[in-house]
Amino acid sequence: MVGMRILIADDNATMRSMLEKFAGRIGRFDIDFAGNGKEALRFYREKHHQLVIIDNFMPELNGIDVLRELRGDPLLDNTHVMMITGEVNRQLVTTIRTEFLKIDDLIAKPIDFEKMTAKVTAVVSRFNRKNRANGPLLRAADPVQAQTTKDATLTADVVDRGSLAIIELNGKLVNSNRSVIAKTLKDMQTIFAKTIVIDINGVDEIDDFGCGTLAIMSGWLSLNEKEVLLACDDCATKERITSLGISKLVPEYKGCLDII
Amino acid sequence: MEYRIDSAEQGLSAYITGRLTFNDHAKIRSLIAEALAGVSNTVCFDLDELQFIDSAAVGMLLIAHEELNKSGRRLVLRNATGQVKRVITVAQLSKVITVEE
Repeated sequence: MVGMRILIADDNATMRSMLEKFAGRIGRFDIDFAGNGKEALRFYREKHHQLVIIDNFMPELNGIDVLRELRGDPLLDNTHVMMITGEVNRQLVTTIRTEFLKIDDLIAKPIDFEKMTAKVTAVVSRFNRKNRANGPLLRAADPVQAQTTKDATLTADVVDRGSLAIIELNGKLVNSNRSVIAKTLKDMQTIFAKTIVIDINGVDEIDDFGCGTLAIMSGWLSLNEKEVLLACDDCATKERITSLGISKLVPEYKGCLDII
Repeated sequence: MEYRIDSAEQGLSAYITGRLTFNDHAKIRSLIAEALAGVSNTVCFDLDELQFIDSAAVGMLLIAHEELNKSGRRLVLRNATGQVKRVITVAQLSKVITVEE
């Protein structure tokens, strides 16, 4: 199994330890630790981590300087960068935008770990999708909560991380895969999370049954006082979903540069 | 599933009976085509004698709404009872389609 690589860069040892424990609650990762910007740069160039959590204020090179150095590295496109900063101000945001620095999330201190969990879980989910052949990482880390149902043309992974759960559908959401959905609906009954993202970015075909299923799935979860969101930002079936009014039934989950 | 169409001044009504499932896709398509061929701006699906719908049927109702809407027509779901009413409620179809008692 391919493990997701994380780089944690912070000059504060206590913070590094806290972030390590935080990551450990989400899954099993290959983690590198850097105590300053130069070290972070060296580690990243060696391993090209899928997730970088970097403090802005560090000796040698600060977080912004590290991202300036890395700008233009094509492998950075496959990396999700979270920058932790003591203060989110207009100047910082302007610098990031005008210099086209690859920073996906700005995280203000004190860190809201609940929101950060949601973000990291989404990153892990995307990584798992890309490495489908090797099996989802979260499932290995948490065999009780995460379950995978396999069928010829559809997979459904339910990942419950406490505050947020992701129902990740990949393949053909069509009537012939009804048994997969039936099992997923059953699994959903044990979801503890308050917010549930139905991720259909990996769905490449949807029929009457699929559309109806999305409506029923989201409706059922709403009735159970869950906040349900639909992730379909680069979804092949987005036009179909929108024209049928599914987006009126389930608000869209938007992943963008969020300050959390 | 079977249906019967009744055109009146106030709009076109389709009385749908039996069980509406994935296997009825062609019939629903035929019903939509008949509704589009008519002149009524309001198309009412009367569900009083419809006993059962599955997930695919919910999708079909959304498709019917979309097709009629594209041609400037309005779909109304009327008189749903029992399991049909429960599924329509759970799927929150009233957020998209007009649902009347």
